[in-house]
Amino acid sequence: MALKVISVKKSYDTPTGKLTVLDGIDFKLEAGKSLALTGESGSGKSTLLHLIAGLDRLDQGDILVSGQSVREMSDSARASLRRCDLGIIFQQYNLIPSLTVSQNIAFQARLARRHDQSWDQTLMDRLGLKGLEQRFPEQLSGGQQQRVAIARTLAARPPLVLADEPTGNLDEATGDGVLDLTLELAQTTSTAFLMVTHSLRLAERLDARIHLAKGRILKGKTNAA
Amino acid sequence: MQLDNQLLILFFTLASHWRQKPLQLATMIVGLAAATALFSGVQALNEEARASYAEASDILGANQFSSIVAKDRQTFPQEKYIDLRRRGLPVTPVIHGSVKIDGISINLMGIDIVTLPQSNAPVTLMPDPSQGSDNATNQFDLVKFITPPWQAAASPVLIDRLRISPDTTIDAQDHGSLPPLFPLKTVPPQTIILDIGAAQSILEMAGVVSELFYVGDHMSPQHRKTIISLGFDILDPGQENDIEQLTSSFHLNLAAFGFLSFLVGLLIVHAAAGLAFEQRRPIFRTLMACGINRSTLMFSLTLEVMIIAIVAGTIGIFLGYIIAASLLPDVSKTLQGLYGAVVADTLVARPLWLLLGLGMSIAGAFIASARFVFQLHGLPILKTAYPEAWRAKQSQSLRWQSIGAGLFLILLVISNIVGSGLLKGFVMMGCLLCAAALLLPACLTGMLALASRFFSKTVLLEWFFADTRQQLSGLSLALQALLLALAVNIGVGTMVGSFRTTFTSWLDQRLAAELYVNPGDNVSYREIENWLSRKKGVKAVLPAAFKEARSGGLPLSIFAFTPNSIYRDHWPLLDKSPDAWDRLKSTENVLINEQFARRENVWAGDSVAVTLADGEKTAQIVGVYSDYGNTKAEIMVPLSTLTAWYPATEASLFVVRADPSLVSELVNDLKNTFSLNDKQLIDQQALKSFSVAVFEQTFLITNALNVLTLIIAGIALFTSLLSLATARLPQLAPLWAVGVPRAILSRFELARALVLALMTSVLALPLGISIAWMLTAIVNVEAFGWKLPIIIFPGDLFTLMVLAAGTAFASAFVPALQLRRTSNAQLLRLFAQEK
Repeated sequence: MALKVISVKKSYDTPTGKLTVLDGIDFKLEAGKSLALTGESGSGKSTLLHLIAGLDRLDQGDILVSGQSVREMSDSARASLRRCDLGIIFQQYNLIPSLTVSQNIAFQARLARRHDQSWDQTLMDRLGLKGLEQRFPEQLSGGQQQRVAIARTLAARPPLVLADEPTGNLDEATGDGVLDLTLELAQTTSTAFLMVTHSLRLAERLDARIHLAKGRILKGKTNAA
Repeated sequence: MQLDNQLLILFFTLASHWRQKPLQLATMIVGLAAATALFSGVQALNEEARASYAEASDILGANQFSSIVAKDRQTFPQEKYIDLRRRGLPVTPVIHGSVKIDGISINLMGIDIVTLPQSNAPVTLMPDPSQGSDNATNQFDLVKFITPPWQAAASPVLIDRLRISPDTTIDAQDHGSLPPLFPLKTVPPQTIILDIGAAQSILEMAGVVSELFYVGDHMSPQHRKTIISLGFDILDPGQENDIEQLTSSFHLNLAAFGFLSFLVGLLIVHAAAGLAFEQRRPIFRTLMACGINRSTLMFSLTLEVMIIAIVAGTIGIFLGYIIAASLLPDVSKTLQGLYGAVVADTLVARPLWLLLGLGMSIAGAFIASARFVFQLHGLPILKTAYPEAWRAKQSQSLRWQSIGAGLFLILLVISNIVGSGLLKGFVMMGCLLCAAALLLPACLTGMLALASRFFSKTVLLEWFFADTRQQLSGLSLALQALLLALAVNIGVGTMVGSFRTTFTSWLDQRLAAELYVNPGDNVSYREIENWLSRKKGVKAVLPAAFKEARSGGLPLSIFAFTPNSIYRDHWPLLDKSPDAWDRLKSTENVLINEQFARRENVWAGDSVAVTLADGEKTAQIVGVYSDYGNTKAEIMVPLSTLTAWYPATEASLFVVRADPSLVSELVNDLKNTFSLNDKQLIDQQALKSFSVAVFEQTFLITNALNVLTLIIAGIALFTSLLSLATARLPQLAPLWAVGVPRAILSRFELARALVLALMTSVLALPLGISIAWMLTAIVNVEAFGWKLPIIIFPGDLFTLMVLAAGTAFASAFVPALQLRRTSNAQLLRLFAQEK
């Protein structure tokens, strides 16, 4: 099992009182499968993604990534989890501006000590980044930057990829192309793929979908893998 | 009204940025206040000193009357004065000289109170009935003033300093005794005014006068013609006085330091203003899109800069006053020790100084922010407010900076070829510092690329070097400030250290005798000489004498010695003719000091003219000796030569060679037998300690300013890193997201500051040594008249590098700690904001 989310609850203190963002979320995701997380703005999608990635702490419940409990992990263990066991694709790409395209792609794989130059080349070929190796992020278009971000994540061959609106900044055609390629590569490497999106059209293309509303999974709209 | 309203809204909208970024505002104010503080502090010191010189100048009549002087600026027979009076010219005679009392050099001014009109005289000695009974002038007694044993006027400050009680005579070290003093506030601190007859007697200048004051309302053409026909020159009021000329190099040094600190401070302001502009760029576009006039926006920003400048300037002036007030006593002692110039040691806040400080603060703020305000002129309204791509911007900036550096280097070469004097030295140093500062980012980029090639063993190290290169544009101003401060520190430190080492070994050579006895007037020289000759352990008693003369219109000291191996073996000669010491047996040959040689450009084999009381004497130079610490020209001749030139000369000093173990016993015996005091008996060690103390005093201010400049550079680094810390978070958050812990990232932030500071200090080493060379080979020669060998002190350089690294570490510590303590929520918010 790549990911298991068990009765996760999360709330924040606000000036007007406690705000419950997630209220008992349960689902699981098998290796090589993909899952879309949909919902309105403020439904808790990104919070859930952050909890899975160990970027934030949960209040109740547990999250198991490759069988490891995120709840019990120290900060350094969470950092290690992000380095080695999962990859995150951000909507804003979050590339490192001071590194070239090839350096950015190799970055996380080298951190995880799983760097494979030929796999990098394969990814660059497949993602259409050939010839851009020595460019810096600011010299690329939005679509190119997102493809670099995807390559960076997949280059480390993580068992789980979390994507937060990965095509949100791209036009429809480019977005579709990038997603197709990501899903194909994830399948090739048996990577579990969890994507947060607003778009039902994109969500339909994944193996399963969970719809969140007011911090809960909306019944009738779940087809988790 | 509408415009006013619009301006007000606009102003408060722009100012809202500072509410959100109080640290940035603090940076700008701290930078500007620090710049203004050091600049105005130094200005206050200079103003205070100049005010003291001006008082002296006023009292000497330079600003009141036209002065009539001999063409060679020497004294002239008083018969010439009598001749002019007989021709009906309203002139009054004046004589100038100096005496030493308790080691303090005092100007003596002899006047003829009968012919000096009291109605418009610079100092009114006559009692004024309209003034109260406690008025000092009431102590004036005309009869006492003009008849022996005379009475003299001095400032209460001087009387207080000399701890003299009224109606007692004073011993002058080199000129017998002075008449009793009465206090007069209008007399400057370093001057004593007395009757011309008394002054002639004390100064041993009977029958001569130094100058005449023309005391008539207006000098008629006929009078002017008569004066010139008699071989005189007429100096109109307002001519600069000697002390101002002598001390100009010292004040130029201070001003240069003040200006350097000001520039370093402006770099902080420039960095803060640039960051504020970049961050508000989207606001500017929105405002213009909402219909705000471009010129109104520019005006509003200018107004904002002006308000910040006034606030920071006021704080800076206040701090400058505190700095100046705390440094003034040391400056006063330094000027006294170096030039014999007495400067009041209490600071007065002068309106001109306050206005200048505020003006510089405003001008500095405008200079530092002008580029950004004028960028608005070409800002397109509809273009998206993306900042320029950093790489393109950085390479463009490096190109322009390199061009600027090239221009400064060309100017340096030109000024070396065509320039002269002290200004040449300062222009060259300024050009070198500016060129180096402009080249720094390019050099650091290169060094980082090289380091990356050798040390990028891991992916994080690879990122570290690449990221550090990217951060350079944001940190370069602070690093430039650090480079300037370090280079000046190394330069001045090396110069002072070289000077200290040279001076100490020179003292060891020159002060070879064990004891120096200055008996004064009350004891017979012969008696002491005989007594000393019979004393056990005394190897030689060598009489010596000092005499004041002139050469080339400027004062000259003559040191007369009794030939002995102590001089031949220990007196270091920089330039000499063969058998220089033997050739001194002839009364036609002299040794001169380095200051004299450099000023007149005369060396061994050349001739020198010495003006004596009874005419001019031309002597041949057989050697040039180094004479550190002395600002005056000096010649050295055997006592027999001085006696030949001045037959009435008597020894005033004994140089005693004795068994060192018996010196303290000898000193006690001399005290008991001849009632001599500590000032009259100086042993070698005491004299060395005194000389070294004078030396340390001389560079006390330089060292203090050095440290203050380094502190400002530290502030620059701290404020830049703190300003950048907020901008750093979005750059570091992705690394945290992919699993690099905050603790490691914060360590990298500390390491970055350390690496950059160390690289900057490495680059500061050759720059600082070049500055030291310019100081010793150009500035010192012009300012003091001596040249020094450069001695490098690796220990000091290492300490400075450690200090720079420590400064960088301390500066980066707070931002690194902030990063380490950044919560997950704050970092996650960055990702949320990006959406």
